[in-house]
Amino acid sequence: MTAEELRNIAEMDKWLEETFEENYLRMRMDGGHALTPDVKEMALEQVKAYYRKLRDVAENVTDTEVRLTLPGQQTDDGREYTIEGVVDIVRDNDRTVMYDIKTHEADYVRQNVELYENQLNVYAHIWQNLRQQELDETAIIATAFPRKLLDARRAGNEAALQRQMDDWDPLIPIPLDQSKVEAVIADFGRIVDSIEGKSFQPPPVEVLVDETANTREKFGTRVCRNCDARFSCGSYRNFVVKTNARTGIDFRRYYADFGSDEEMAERTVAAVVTAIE
Amino acid sequence: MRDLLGNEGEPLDRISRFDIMRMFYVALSRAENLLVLGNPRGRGISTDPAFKAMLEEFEPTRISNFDASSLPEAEISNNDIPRNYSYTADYLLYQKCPRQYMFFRRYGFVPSRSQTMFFGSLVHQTLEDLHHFLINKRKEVAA
Repeated sequence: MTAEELRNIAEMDKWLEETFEENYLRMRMDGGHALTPDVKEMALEQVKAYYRKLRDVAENVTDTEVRLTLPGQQTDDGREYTIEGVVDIVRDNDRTVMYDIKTHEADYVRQNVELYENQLNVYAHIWQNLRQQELDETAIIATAFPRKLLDARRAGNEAALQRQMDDWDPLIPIPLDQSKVEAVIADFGRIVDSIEGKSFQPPPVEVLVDETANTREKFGTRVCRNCDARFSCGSYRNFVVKTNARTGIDFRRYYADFGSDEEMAERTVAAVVTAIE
Repeated sequence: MRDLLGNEGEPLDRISRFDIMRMFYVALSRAENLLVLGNPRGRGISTDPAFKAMLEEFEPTRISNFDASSLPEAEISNNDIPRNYSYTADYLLYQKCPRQYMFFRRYGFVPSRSQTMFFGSLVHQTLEDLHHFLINKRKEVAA
């Protein structure tokens, strides 16, 4: 890196630190929640890493928070509705590219590309209709640090950290393919009908015990254990019964399960931080 | 407050009675298909004269005599104004779990575990500020 580049990065780091702190304070006041110091640090590092890794993207952004609406949709039951979406950033100069920023891990995004493909292709469809202009590319920017990078960071190994930082590719191109858009919009309509028909059943217990979907964790662990409404949920109760089939279920423990020790400590620290700040 | 408003409003000694009437007006007028009224009896329990008159006038069916199959199918009223649905906050969230969607999106309960959400909003907001900063800087250079 040239001296000029280093100076620029140092300047931008400082600007980001200040902006980040301002945002943190404002959002903490608004929401009444705090982040634990290590989680807050991690958020700042992700922001800084974004500028270092994707400076070319950042400096070519022409629009942010672009609101896309697709009015005049009709569900199977005859309801009229509008689809809304917000694209984080757009580059619209020599090429037109749409980016969505996610605080997910790049590997997770790569393994579950179809999840993002549907979303970005619907957005692309709306954009192209709205502006009568073809898109050249869509991509996801995954800001979460990869696991290996976190390991190196935790171990304090500078050389390994640098290597992992260089290896990390947070930009994941999403294939532009409009062939599925119609089917996704039809599915969207069915979900609008379910919502307006007030159908709010949880997924069956079979879904909760399922370990597929490219994550090693069960749905019941990954989603439900983080859901405040789980203690009154039939599916979650069946999930606990099923996963404890051998030992039998201890209901006292079931209702006292507020997450792992780590999670409980995190909440306590966050509460203390809120109280002090 | 009364001095400031310059009018008497409801007589003070009757306000609590009026409040009860308003609450019952709401409670009794929301039902669309079936209204179930408790009718407790026993020592020390008395029925308000207003209810007594109403129960005599309408002679409601007792629960033990009620035939649930006589209940007409609920009609779901269609709101005429087309609603906006967000791809992420509605479609994806409902797909994950309809029940969770009901609690947190429809009824607006605030999740107790806020770290993940706060984290995401903070990163997004700061990156948005960064992009605005860079766009403005470019405009200054061009000008």
